[in-house]
Amino acid sequence: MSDEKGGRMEEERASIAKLDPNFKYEISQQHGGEDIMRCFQCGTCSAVCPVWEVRGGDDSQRIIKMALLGMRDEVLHSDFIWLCVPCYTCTVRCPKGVSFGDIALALRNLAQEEGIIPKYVQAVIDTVKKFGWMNEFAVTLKTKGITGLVGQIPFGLQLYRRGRLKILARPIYNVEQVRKMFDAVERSGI
Amino acid sequence: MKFAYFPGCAAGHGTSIEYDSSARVLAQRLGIELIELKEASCCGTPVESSHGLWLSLAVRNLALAERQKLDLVTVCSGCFVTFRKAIEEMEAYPDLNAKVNDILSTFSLEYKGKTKIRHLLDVVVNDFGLKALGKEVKTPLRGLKVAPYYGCWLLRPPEITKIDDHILDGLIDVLGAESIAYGDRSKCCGGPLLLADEKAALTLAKDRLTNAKFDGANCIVTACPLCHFMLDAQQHRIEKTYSVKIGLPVLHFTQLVGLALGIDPEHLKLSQNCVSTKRMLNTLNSAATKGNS
Repeated sequence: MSDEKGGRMEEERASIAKLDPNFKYEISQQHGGEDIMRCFQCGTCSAVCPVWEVRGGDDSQRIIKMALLGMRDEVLHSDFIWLCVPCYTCTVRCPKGVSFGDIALALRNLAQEEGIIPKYVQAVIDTVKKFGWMNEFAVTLKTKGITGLVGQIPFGLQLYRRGRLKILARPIYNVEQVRKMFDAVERSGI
Repeated sequence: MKFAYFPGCAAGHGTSIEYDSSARVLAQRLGIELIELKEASCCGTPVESSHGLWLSLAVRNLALAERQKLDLVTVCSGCFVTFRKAIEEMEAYPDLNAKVNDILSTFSLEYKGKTKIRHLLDVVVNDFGLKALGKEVKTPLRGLKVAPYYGCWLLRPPEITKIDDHILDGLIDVLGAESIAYGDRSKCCGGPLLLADEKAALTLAKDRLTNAKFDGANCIVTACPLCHFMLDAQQHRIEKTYSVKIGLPVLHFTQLVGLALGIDPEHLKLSQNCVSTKRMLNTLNSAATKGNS
């Protein structure tokens, strides 16, 4: 796994007993994960990945390898699956038609089913449910708190001066319908 | 040319209000009718990690447009690619389609697959047409060396977006400006990464800016409010954080086209862009005067 600076930490060797051989099939049943087993680990995806370029640390080739080996826990708890844009640069370059961008999204869905969800992602979902639109100010407030927001003041001011920052934003018209839909989606399990 | 207008959250709710304003002004000028969708919500892109929510949000918006028997047009590449993906999914998976429409039926909405999604850039270049646009140009943008910045989601995945990967280059030519060979033309701006890793996101944006400058640009044109935000709104902060001087004005394509058509910069809300466009406008004015003398 990557440490805070994105470097690779010393890891224990994968133990066969802890591997889940079904994981790759589980992923191929998800939307976007269908082609994961075509990967032959050429590394092109990582070579073109803009996120890996600036961060180093974990990369798509490695995550796919771990998934194929059955390292379910490590993959679902990794930071990297939440860092994929997805920009689809890897997708257009992959010689085997594998889309890590879509696999990352599939892995995020699986992770959420286990209750693994970064704070800011929950904040985004809650905000879209509350307002019906993606209110960045509200999300930043939820994620960073008032103290975190203070650091953003100079940045916020240049937007506010240009009439581009709504602090007391309102929900969309008929937001109730969107909220009901959120509940219905949760009940339906789609 | 009549569409249901979907500005998206950034353009429609304030952060990129100048993009929305200039888009409406341009559309009116070109005779593209934009109909409000009063009940439109977020397209779903920010919650893509929750597949069912993402799909339902997207399809509900499509259904709202379908109710008015109109196609949807957006100015945001994120919204654009999400709607394209959602439409494909509804076509490819009848079971999922039925489940989503089942939920929508409780709101008397249904998506039959008739409404499609267009990006306004595509509508301007292909529906209005580049030739016709060329005839409308009143003030050719001589003196501008524009880096055409496509970003990720306008062009990828190509079988989903189906947008010509030289669409901005062609547009810049027709407007009388010089389109520079920008190596980072469709490399990521970092926008969607802002919440997950702010430092990585700003590094990506910084690289897009410094490389544009290195490649000889004196301004950048974008087709996505998030790309624009990363390159324009974040530019001063990037200059400070990385101790680099950039000073590149970043225009929404609607602003660039509007300028060439002779629309008042104030109507295009250029003063709302974070990086000043004053010097750029002076360059245009002096180039125009030279041309006339």
